[in-house]
Amino acid sequence: MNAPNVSGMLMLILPEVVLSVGAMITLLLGVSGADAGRSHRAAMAALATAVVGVVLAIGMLTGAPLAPGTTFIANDGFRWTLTALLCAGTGAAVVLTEAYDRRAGVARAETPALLLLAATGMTLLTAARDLMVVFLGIELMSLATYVLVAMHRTSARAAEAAVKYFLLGAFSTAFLLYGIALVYGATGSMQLEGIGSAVASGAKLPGLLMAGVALMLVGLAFKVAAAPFHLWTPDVYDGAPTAVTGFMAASVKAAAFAIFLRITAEAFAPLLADWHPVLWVLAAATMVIGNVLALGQQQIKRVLAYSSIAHAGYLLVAVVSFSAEGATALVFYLVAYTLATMGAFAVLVALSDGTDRPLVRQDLAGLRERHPWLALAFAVCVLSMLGFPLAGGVGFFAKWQVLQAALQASVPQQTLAIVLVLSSVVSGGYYLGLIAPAFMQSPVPAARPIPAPPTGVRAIAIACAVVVLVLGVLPSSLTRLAQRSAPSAFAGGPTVATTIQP
Amino acid sequence: MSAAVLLVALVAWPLIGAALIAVLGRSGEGDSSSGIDARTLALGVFGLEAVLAIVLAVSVHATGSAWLATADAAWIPEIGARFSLGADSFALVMVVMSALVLPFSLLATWNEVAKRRPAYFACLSAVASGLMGVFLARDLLLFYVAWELLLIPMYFVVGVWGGTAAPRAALKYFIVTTLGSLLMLVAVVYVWNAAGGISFAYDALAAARMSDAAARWCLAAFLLAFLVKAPLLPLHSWLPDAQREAPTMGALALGLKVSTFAIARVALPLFPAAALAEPMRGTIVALAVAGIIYGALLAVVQPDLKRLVSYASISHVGLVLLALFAFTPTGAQGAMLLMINLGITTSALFILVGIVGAQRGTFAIESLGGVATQAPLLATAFIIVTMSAIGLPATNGFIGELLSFLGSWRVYPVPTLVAIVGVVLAAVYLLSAMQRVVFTASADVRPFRDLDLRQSIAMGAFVLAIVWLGIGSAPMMRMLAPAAERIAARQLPEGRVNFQGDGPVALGTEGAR
Repeated sequence: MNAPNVSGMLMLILPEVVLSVGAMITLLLGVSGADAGRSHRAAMAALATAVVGVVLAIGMLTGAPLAPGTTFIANDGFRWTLTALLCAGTGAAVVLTEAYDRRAGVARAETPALLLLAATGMTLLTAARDLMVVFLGIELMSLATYVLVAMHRTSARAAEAAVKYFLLGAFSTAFLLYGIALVYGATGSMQLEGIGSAVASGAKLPGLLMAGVALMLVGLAFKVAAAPFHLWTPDVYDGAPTAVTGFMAASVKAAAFAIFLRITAEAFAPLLADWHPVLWVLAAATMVIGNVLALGQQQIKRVLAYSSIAHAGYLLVAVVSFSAEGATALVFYLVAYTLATMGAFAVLVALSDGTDRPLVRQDLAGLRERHPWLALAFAVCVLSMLGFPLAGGVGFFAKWQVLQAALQASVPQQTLAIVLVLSSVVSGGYYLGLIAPAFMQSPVPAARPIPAPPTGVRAIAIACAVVVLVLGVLPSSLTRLAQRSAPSAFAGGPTVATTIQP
Repeated sequence: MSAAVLLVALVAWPLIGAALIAVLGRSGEGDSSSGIDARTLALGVFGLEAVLAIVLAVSVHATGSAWLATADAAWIPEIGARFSLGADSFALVMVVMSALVLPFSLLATWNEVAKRRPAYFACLSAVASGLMGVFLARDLLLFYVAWELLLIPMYFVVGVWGGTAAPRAALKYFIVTTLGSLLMLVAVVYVWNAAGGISFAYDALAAARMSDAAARWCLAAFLLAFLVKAPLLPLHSWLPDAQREAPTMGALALGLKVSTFAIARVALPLFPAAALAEPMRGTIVALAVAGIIYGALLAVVQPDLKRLVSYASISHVGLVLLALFAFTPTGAQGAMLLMINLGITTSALFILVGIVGAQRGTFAIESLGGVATQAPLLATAFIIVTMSAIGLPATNGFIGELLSFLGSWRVYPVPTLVAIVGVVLAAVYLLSAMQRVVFTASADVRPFRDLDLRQSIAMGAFVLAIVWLGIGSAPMMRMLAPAAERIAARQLPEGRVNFQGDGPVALGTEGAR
């Protein structure tokens, strides 16, 4: 692999360049011009940047065949599909945070700028093939997100959430960094490819390597909120501004899964027999714990927080399947999950009254009468998370892909598949608990009148629901895209997976 | 119109109709918004659906293939799913029966639901689409989607338009049936994968190479999904709750025998060998027989008329399952006739119970009574439908029960005897309920209104069907005979019929074939 020249190198990180330049412009717009509308102009600039990111990524996907990347930046379908997804998620988050902050009276230009910076980190994570780049991406994403959680400075709950998130996030980053150091010590390489070949040829210091892998997995499990490393999630999701919660639940999680899959596929594949049982247990525990604990929650954001933990469990099943099918399922699932999560959170943003009072199920009562279209969109998105066919649209095929990957793995994972569907049945209890009040109860008078939801928020909710429904009837295009997006490490077939013990 | 177009239209039209009702419909009196009365629209949707079903039924001709009509189009080529529909004689009769029950039920319950009529009828219309999809699918993924399509609109029908305890009953219904269908989903993926992961066509999947144990587990998952919804004994408790709370049309749609159809059409032919395996088969038969007696006994002591009908239908499902799992052609034919006739009779019973209950505001049998003196038409309909539910000769209920018993007697003599006891019990609870409602004067002396014109037309149609199928079911039995042979031999319609044993009863077939 030749070292590309400077312009080739820049082309490889073009989305990251665009996003970070966009972030600077957004910040500048936030301090220039007339006071009125500053934050709005900044948000529009951020939205435009995110759209450019989407267009760039789609252009790479649909354009000429991808040139091979370098040893530290990947240039494959996996990267570009997820980059498009993450930029789209960021764009939606820009619109939602602006509406939410405006309602709370704290609209600032820093929020969209921070979202773009987080997006830069996230897109780096989809591309990273070197542990330094991984670390860079994770820190960029995480630091921006810590601040986003704390943006509502007068809210004690947000402050608490931010401190909690920051401390635990820093803690998990320390695990990851320590793991990176040990893996480097054991293999002498920072590049995933180099680590992979060093491990395959037998590490000189197996104990050191194992410790490094374990620490890295712990760090990554923190980031994707897998049980038992999920404890921060409900509190942080609950305390953060609702729109930021949506961003974290959808995009931050997707980015963390992107790098999770790439590291396991490219660097740790030869050690599959060692980490496979660990992830197996993590996946099963995450599905069960997320779904069961969600049942008892009254606050909607906590329900969705635990539900996002459960979804992390489903996604881990795709990782554990460790095959091209598993990677396909992961990409497919992330698209479906992002759509459903963004749609549902858009409805929650539309319903928030501008205070940091937590939304409870009662706030959804009579939603059908107040906002029939939002109620329908909410139902579709929630049913999509449940994985219901037709009414839940693409969510069903997402579950299908994961089940297919689990059963087609070189060692079929029937038990995980059954744990998945049984815990999904449990999830029916709380998902319907969100839909039922919207359709079966009369509205209760709100303590504070809730203004009509802004057009952008409604558009996002309804667009997400429509795309969910359309892809739920005609999933072919997304299936093909996801199939093209498996990382190249899986291209050779399941040869590396033969070492899994059942 | 070609048969393929009709098949697609049967599935798609109710979905289009649901959208039309939701968008154009208006709630009726007191709703000043522009639009068409949702009930009129729904009647149009269901009416056209019935016409489509009848046109399909008269336009198909027996061909060499068992499929009388097929339609096929690409759907998701990546996983081999096709939009593939087909009707054999059994599916055709179920389609016609369901498509006819819906518009007449709507006529009979014209004023029952007052709030948010457009959404109500849109949900019911979506249910109709799901029903047709289950009956007509030839692709397992399509079948699964149609099967699940039944669930969400029905959840809303029960939960939103039901009685006071409805949201809870609806949730119970949803969770219990989802448990079954998600385990079935794992089995679907497994079978599809075992068959090479390239096709969902029933016959391709039936050829999947699987170990005996895997086939048994998969069959168990399919049967669990279907038997939960049937319902079979220990899994039945959601049904009386849901049917008691649901509005009449919801209750009767829950009572259409979709799940037993699915057992005969999907579960048994996909796993022909596993279906014979013990202890599953014996367990199902034992539970079916227990359900016959248990449902009947609960119906005997039931003070609530609507729950009584619900328990009666649990008891009746036991008969269908016993006949089906005997795997004799006669038994299969009896089971099919029972499914069709129970669909008609139970629907008529729910309608009558709804009419009587709505007038008194309660379903407590002790508060109902004296229909005969004040509402002669209502009383007559009540008596005829009750006779049909008991299985009196010359009503539609008789021939199905008789054939079921004949078919299961050879294989399961003792369970059949117990089942016959259950039928005697049915006479006890149905006759005593009828007697108390129709003839005994109750403490409540408010007068009963008789059937109005719409209700008279609807009940007239039901009574006509009951009598006609009671004395003239020979053509239908001839039609169903080959399908019954296939079920007994656990063959898919395209498979080769290969069975030994007693032949199906085909009255008057001499010279006809």
